Amino acid sequence: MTSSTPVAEEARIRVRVRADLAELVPAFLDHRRREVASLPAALQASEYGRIRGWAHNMAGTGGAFGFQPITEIGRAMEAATKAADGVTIRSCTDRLADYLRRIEVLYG
Amino acid sequence: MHPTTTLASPGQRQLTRFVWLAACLWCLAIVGSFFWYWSNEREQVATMAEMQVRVAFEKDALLRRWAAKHGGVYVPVTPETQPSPFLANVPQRDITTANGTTLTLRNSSTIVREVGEMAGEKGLAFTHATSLNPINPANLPDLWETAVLKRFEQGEKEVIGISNVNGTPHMRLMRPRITEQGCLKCHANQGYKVGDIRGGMSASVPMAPFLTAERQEVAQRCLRYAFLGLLGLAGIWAGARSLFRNDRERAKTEQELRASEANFRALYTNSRDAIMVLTPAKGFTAGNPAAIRLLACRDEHDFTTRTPATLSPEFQPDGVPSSEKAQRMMALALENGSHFFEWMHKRADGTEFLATVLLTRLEIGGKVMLQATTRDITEQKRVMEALRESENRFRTIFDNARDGILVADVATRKFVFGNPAIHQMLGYTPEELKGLGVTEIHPQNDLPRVIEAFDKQARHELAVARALPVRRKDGSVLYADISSTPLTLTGKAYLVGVFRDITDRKRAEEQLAQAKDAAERANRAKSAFLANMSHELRTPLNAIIGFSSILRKNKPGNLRQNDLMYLERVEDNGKHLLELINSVLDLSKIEAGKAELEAAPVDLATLVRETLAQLEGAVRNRDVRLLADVPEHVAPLVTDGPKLKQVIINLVANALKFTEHGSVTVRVVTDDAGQPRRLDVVDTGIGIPQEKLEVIFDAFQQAENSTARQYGGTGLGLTISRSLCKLLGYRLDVASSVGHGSTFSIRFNARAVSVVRHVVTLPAPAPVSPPPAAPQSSPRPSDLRDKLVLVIDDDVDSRLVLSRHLEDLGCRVAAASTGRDGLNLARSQHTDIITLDYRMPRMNGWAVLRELKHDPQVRNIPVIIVSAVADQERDTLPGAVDFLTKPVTRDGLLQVLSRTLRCSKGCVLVVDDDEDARRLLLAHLSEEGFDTRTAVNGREALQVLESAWVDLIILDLLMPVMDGETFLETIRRDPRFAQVPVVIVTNKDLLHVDERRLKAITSGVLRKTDALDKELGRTVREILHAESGPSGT
Repeated sequence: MTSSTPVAEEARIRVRVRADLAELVPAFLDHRRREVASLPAALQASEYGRIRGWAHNMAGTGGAFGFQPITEIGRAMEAATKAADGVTIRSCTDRLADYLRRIEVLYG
Repeated sequence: MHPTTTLASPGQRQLTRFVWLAACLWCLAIVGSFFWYWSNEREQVATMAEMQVRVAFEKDALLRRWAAKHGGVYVPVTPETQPSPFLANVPQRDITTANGTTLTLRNSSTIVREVGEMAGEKGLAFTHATSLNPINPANLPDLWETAVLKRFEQGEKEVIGISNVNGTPHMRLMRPRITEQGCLKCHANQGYKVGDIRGGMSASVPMAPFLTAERQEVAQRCLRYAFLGLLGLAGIWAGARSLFRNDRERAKTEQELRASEANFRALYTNSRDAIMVLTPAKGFTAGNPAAIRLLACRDEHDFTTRTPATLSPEFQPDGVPSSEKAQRMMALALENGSHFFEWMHKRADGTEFLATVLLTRLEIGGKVMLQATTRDITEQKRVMEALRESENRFRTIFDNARDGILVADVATRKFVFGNPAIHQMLGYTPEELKGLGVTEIHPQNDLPRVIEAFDKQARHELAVARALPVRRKDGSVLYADISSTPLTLTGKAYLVGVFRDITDRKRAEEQLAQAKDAAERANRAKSAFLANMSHELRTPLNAIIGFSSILRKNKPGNLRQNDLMYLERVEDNGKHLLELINSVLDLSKIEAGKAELEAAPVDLATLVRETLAQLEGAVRNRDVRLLADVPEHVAPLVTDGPKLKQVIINLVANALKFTEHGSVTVRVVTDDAGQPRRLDVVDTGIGIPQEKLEVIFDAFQQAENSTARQYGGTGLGLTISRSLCKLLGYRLDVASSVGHGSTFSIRFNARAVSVVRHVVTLPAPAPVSPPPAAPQSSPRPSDLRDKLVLVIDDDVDSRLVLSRHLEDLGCRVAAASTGRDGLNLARSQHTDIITLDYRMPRMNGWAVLRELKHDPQVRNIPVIIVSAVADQERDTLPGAVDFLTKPVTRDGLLQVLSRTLRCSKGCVLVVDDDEDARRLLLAHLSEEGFDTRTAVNGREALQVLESAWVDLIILDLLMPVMDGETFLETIRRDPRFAQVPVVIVTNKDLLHVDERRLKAITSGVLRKTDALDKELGRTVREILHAESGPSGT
């Protein structure tokens, strides 16, 4: 839809990542996308331990790759798992999905 | 509706109605009879009262008449008998007797009245004289009397009936009173004449006693009638019950009879045996369907028109005419009640069959008949014959079997019987063997094993007891495999054992085992010999090739052209000899079955492409093109890729060797589904004569003796290739025409490589004519300038060659001829790299390496194993950074050294379950020049530590299977790893106290986010630099 294109362009998040990590970044993002896809079912099944593992890893590696929001989302999600706070987890999942959808990686 | 109603039969319903009717009639009879009696009783009471009232009437009438006749009666005057004023006009009403007593007259009416009053007062019958015109008003009539008096006036002479007197019922009789002469004395003055009706006289008898008696009688009778009625009803009930029971029993009996009849009918109809009814005179009178079928009659009517004689052949098998024999059989059955015999029947269609017949005498409705139950025994006879034959056959087999067969009673473990072979095998007669038990034909020492085997076989748990020792009668022992089958005969369990004497085989096996041991010893000796020879041959070759290579550089410039040519020949021949040795070792390994396979799906297109790329250098500057002809779609081939690649390299190298011009093409041929069927290596070379096509695959054979001289090679390439193909399950063959080239074809078999075993990698493939490999990297000698390399090797030539090459590359060299000297030098010099020979006397390479790695001062010096058997030691020397096989070439050395320098800063083990974190850490560490290992949890990290040298551990804390803290505790307790520095890189929120505790036992605790970015490299560098001490880079 032509009307949505400018909005999409505006909403795009450009992240600059070190060139030497270029080989690793696609896999990293792919892993996160897979987790986003699996999160609703895990939440539905109250698998907080599993979600906590994902969140913990996001928090640990996101910033290192240059994706600080992923680290922040991971931290919030990890804290939410401790309180079994499904609403926050769902909100974090949405934020992560949105971030991953809009992200554009530039190397160098 | 009550269920019983619905279930009652019509008979029962009728019976119920009858019973109810009988009960009602009985009740009616009883009630009717009672009322009849009651009515009679009342009449009787009335009659008796009437009789009594008549008697009373007559008595008083007589009294009155007597009194009237005598003109009355004088009675003394008393207060009660005062002179009657009503008789005042009667003369001489009162008289006085001579003695002066005054008497007064009492006339008849007064007498009757006064007597009646007295009787009435006593409740007795009384009479009353009355008149409508009485002299005395006391004689006035009551209502009933008044009515009766009026009826007298109308002419009635007597009235009798029941009427109340003073409120109680009385039987009353009244007659008119006719005036007589005597009456006129008192009543003349009233105008009466003789004959006039002057009034009446009534007699009354109280009914109360009669009615009381009647009530009592009626009550008693009522009870009797009630009892009688109930008795009658009980009788009816009992009778009805009996009738019902009888009816039910009758119905049940009828039902059973019907069921029984139906059963018998079904039996009769469905019986597979033919059942016929016949009489001696009339023949068959009935037959069931089986009989009609058996005798091929159209229907029962058709059947009953026949006789036993017409349904039999003329003669029975014993030659007696059927008609005569049939009569005899029937006579016997009639006489004895039944008779069983075999009979040859003839069906209506003329076919004959043998049958058994049971003739039974029957008496139905007074008529004597016979029932014949006939069964076709043709099949039975055939089976019996077959069984007999089979039994004979098995008896023959049993008696003639070469294996001993012995049958034992499972319960007693005693032998029951055996075949001649077992008697011969064990030396017992049948009678002797029959008395023996299982425990008596085996050596005492083996009895527990034998009994266990026997019991297991009896329970179907063991089919064959192998190699059991069996003792013969003469005491000698034989060995037998005993295969047993449990079976049950007439309810008893037996075990049939087949004894196969394997004494000879067992001895042969023992000899074979000894021979095998000897062969294995020889093989081990051969392997050791080959390994030693390999080492011993390669070591001098190392010197020959190395020195000639160095001399050929002619650095001083004092060698002549001829000398250089000679040196080239020396070097070439040395290399050729090395190839030969490698090939012989390869072939030896394949043929010894030591080359094992690892099957995996292989993309042939990629394999061919990689192989050709590897051989690219061999066609450089030549008039030969290297081509690939691979279909677009080739299904993966499950095979051992490296070995197949080695074969292709050998074939292509071979083709290149004999092709001066044209091309060498590697062609993959598939079927319609893309499954690879064949791989051809097609060349346009010199070709092979037809008669030599098979010879070329033999070891050390080439098509022409001159070929070897012209083209070189060991003559083992094709032999190895064919052996490898055979190992892979493929066939390697060749088609060729002299002058037109050759085509070597590998014919695949998809299922060939199905067994995946532990992999023992063969030495790197050695093509017949090793083509120059394409440069994989560009090591720069300048990187090595002034690096101090310590050469530890017991062989002086090796040390010299290696030292010269190293110096040539710009390195400084320190050399040691023993491990101990090498260790000392390493500790005393600032050594950058160590090259270590593996096979050294006294202290071998492993011992040196271990000591190096346990000494913090020198542990970080990278060690390269340089050995004639380096590849074989690759898996057994954790801690070495690289391996170099002798003979060492300058280029090979340069590559290994360059690689080592790049990775010489230390080996870091990264333990993290997060793949992204691991990859990121590896990227950072590799960039820093560290060698790396990885593990996904603590347990895997422990395995890595067991197999490889690690200088530093980067450890995550939160991991599955074994977390970081458990791993840390484990390695700190193990003296081998207690000193390995550990840096914790975690994202876990640590309490202050936990962080302090972890920092105390590790070299640092980093937040993952920071560590992955910049801090890690610095921390690791600091730690490893400190660890390496003065000898560190």
